[in-house]
Amino acid sequence: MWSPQTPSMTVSLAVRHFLPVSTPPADTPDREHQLVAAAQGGERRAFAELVRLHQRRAYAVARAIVLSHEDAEDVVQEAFFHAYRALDRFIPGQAFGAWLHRIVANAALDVTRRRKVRETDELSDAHASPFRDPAESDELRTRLRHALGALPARQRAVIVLHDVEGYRHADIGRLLDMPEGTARSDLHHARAALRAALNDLRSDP
Amino acid sequence: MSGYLHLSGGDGDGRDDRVTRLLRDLVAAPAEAEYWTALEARIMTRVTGAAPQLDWGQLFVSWARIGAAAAAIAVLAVGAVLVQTRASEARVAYEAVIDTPPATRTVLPSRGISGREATLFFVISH
Repeated sequence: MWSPQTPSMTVSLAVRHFLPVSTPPADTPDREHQLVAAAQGGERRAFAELVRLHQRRAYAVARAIVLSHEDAEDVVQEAFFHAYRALDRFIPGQAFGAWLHRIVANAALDVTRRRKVRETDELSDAHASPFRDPAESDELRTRLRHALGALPARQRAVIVLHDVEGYRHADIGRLLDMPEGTARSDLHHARAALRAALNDLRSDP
Repeated sequence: MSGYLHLSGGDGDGRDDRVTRLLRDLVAAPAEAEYWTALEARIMTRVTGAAPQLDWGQLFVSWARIGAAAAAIAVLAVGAVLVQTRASEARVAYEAVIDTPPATRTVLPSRGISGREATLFFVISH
């Protein structure tokens, strides 16, 4: 997983804003443009390669907005499907990743709007993360999970995208279609809410 | 470590390292390569199985072209029929004026009448 301090980031300049994770070497702007052009011409293999290049980042964007792994997975599939159908409207020269992530974010926000009930228990542990720290208490995890689920969808997205995925405020604003200042404000409120929810919890030894 | 959680510090901008680590844990993407291969396959199945999207604009344009071509052919055909009809009518009218109907045709006696009488016969018969 990428961290903002990772020096060996190989992401192309054109998509750097929205792709802070390291991506395969084939993901150069020229190569991506070729793939997009080929996909627009009907080559499904080219689109499959675009899926391969972007699905992890798309998942991260979706996962920042929806509450469960399953919803994030559905969102990614729907987003790629919509992207494929809208390929003829994609302007060559744009950053495909940025365009795709807007689609992902919109699809994810649709899901959160449809799911009015905040089932924080939906947060799944089925897919263990390499970052999972066994030293952290289950209670802390549970509290954080509930606190995260209790946040408004936009605040949840902002704090995850910023603090976990390394997005900048301006990028988050573009992604979620809101002013940069609103992203800053949402981040502040989200952190305060999590702090309030966890502050009385005793830490583990 | 004991005591209450320290939820400040981090990178100095209000982020707490421990909460960030836990958040990362909560929302982490699956790490297994097989998972991503399977997801890609599911996405492509969805994409491949989808009916091609109808481009109504293109559809309209193509049908409009076909319609225009059909209309042009129809106009030409109607024009040809009209021309033929008018020619036929003109011919009939011409023949009606020029030709003498067989029933009213006067057979002039070839002998025994003068030229003047023949002219009179002709005028009377028409």
